[in-house]
Amino acid sequence: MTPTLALFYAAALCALGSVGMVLRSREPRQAIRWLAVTLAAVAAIELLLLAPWVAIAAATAGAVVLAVFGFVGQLGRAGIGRPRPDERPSRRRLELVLGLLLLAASAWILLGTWGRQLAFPGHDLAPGAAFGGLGQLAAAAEGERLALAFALPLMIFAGALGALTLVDRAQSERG
Amino acid sequence: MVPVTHAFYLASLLLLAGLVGLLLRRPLVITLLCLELTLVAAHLALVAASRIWASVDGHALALLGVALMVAQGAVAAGLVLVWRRGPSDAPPL
Repeated sequence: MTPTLALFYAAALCALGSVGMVLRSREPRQAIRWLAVTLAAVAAIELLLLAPWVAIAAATAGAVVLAVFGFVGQLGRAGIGRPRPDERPSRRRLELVLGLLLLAASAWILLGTWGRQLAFPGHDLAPGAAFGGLGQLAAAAEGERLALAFALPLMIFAGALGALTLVDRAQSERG
Repeated sequence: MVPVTHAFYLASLLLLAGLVGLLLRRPLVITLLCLELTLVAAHLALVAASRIWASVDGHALALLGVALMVAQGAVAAGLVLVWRRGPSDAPPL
């Protein structure tokens, strides 16, 4: 194992561990600290992938975003970001089930049809062929514009999901 | 040399963690942080794909994604503040 590979695995472990801590955090301040660790680890990985400018930009942008969220959290000690009592648990469960179904349908559409045709124009898989996983995708990506098919829909999807989450929270807290 | 497949796996795991946090965590700030995590996963995938192509096209797209992450964070924080102040202080739409 080369030193570069060892550094990559260390940074990846660090990123995944700190993401786990973000998910387990009870306080927003704690989550912000752990996300800072995640962003630092991802910036290190981008440096190892020979993208120094992206790493610097991502680290700077992450620091700005975390500072903004920290400021928002400080302003709202009385309530911003704290969990409120769930007044309608049945609605919450319904949201969870619908959200998971939506995610599964999106993944199936993206990986099963749309993404595959975008990523492999002209060499579409035979009807009924099984999707072989990320390893097959990465191996087939040489010379193909895979990232446009993979990362851009993810960004658009994440943005739409965030907007929906904000609207849903606003409605459920007010109504 | 870093195997690009592993970078894709890492990006997928980060995206999955972000989505799980979006669905399962209740506090709003943590929800927004998980949303940022999904964007981080997306631009890590772009950087990895750029390594395969041996071109900087993916880097340019990743920088676009970073800018999107900052803009989204700023707009979300602004929305949270306006919403918490209450309808009387909210600017007319």
